[in-house]
Amino acid sequence: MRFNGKTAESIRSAAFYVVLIAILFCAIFPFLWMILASLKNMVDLLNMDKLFRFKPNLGNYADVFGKYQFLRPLLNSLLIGVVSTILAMLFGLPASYSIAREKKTLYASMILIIRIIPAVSFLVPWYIMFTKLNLAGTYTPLFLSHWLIALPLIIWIMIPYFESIPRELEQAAWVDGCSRFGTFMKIILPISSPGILTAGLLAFIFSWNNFIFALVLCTDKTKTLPTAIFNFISYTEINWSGLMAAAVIITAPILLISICLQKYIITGLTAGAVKG
Amino acid sequence: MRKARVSLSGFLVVLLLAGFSSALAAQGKTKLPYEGVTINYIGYGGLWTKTVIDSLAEFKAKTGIEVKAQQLGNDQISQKIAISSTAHSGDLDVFAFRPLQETLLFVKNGWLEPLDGYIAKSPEFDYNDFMKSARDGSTNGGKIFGIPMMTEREVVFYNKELFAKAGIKTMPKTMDELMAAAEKLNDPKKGICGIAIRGKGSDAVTMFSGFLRGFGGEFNANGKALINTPQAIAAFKYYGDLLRLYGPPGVLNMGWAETQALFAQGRAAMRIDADSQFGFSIDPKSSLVYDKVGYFSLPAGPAGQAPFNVAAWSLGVSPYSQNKEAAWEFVRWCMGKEMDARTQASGNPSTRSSTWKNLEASKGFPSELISVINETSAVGRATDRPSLINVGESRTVIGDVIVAGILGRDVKPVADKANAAFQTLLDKEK
Repeated sequence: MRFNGKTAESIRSAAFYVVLIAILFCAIFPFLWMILASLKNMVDLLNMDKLFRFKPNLGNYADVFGKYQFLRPLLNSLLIGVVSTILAMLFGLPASYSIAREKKTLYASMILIIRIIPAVSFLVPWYIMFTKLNLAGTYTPLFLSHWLIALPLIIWIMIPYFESIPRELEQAAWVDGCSRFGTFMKIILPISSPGILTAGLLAFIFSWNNFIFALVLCTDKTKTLPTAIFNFISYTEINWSGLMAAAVIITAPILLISICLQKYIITGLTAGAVKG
Repeated sequence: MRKARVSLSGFLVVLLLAGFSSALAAQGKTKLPYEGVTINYIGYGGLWTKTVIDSLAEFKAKTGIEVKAQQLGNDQISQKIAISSTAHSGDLDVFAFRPLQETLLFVKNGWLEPLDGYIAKSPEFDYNDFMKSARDGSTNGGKIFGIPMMTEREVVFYNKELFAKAGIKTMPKTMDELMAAAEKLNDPKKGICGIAIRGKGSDAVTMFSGFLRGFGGEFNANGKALINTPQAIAAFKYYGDLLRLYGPPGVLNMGWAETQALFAQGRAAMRIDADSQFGFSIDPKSSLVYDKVGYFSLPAGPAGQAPFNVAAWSLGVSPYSQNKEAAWEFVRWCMGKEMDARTQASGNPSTRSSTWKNLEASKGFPSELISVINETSAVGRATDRPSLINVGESRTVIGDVIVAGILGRDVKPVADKANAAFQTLLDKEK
């Protein structure tokens, strides 16, 4: 059997949509389930017959902020994420610029070691240091530890980005009398904003999701979202529906930010990918 | 600008007055013994924790001690204790630990403060009121290292409606009867399994203990691994057959939470696990079978009935605490008779004999369950897992044999191999 061009074309596009929908379904279903589950009570959540048909209620969300007091950890996570990301930017951007321009690849690999060594091995010495310095229980250990997570990430994302910026651009600025620092601030940074945004967002997500540092270094006052999740898992029962409502609340900000900044992120991610 | 300055000074005056008046108020009161002391507590989530956290304001009013409580998962608690204690840090004062899993390790590492001296100073605490098996779990070398917080026993939960439908009137008393009942109740076409018990290797070890001992076996004794004895093999086979033939699909991935969900959905006719989880299945908010739940004690094997009756959690004081006296004050209060009755009333199975005799405190428990608890306590074994320092690894090793049994493989060679591995673990600790 032979198809004319038009039929073949429509079959092809139909196949494309089938595949697209299948992939989308796989990607979106967990989120969908999470959102549905967060609107159910426990009986309905465990009941497969009521996967889509159930009486939605917002009680779980009320519980998350009322009974489980999620507001404080939410603000803590936000504060720690923002401060550590800004700190990491402050140090990471100039560092990666110098590495990129001066070809200090040795330093770059040394910084990478921080990410290769399992985070747990920093923990005990840090813990001893922070308790000896009387900083345990404050935000400082959390800022510093999350800063360390973010720093190599930002440096390694920004190195290829800075490398892709033509040197002529800087040289033109120097000719016009701009200082090296001024060039960096006024020329390089503004044109790298998609990259900076991507790096910043990723750093923020890493801090937002980090569990092990927060577990050891936080106290009740400074605890972050990933550790607060444990309030839903008790020794004799697990509050799945509450847990899902909390998961929605934890995922939502990241999802929203990512969607809003999507345009920049894609440029940022691909910028360093192909170099001539 | 002027206006701002005026309002600022006004604000300062108010602040000053407020400080002054609160100072006056403080002078009027008698000073509390531990005014201004703060201690940190970490523990598991549960009814005990909830009740105690809700009552912390009372404790503060009485003693002046502020308790900062944090709730974490089992492994995260261990992690935090390990790091804090290795660092000799004073920022952890009181913590909950799992005596059967961790007493040996923690004592060996010096992470627990001996409590004998404190107990001797507090006669009204009545330490001997705690059940003996529970006390023993937190005692090492004649010294007391923890106060048991909650007990749990291996019991059978059953669905009354499904039992009535299958025409089973008498509860299974022996392992053979249990197998027969599971067969009768099993109805895979309707998505109902005869029995649900943990099938995930190392998780299953504690539930398996009641079967192992019912068949006359033991995990280890006098430094010898015993999991390939004929009795142990028979137990592995029985447990495997029971779950392969009449267990739920996917049982190999099930821990307590999964079987709990199945039972609460009416998809398991019986379920064996710890009685401390009873709340979930009788709460209409989490269970479809909330009004159909019954209980009976673990049936007897060829060697008799051997369910566990253990203290799952104990309260310990860190030797590195800067406020040990205040920490003990907290333990004395929350494990004292008054608070214990209150935590039991909320549904936490107590470790004090006097609390179980207190009818008011036991009101939170279904009366049927109480009689099963009493039956089980009479015959219960004080441990539910191998006793050695490296419990975790030994559970993985034994779990492999349980899995082989459920898969229907020849258990003997797997048990032989596991026994050798278990023996190596035991030898390392000699």
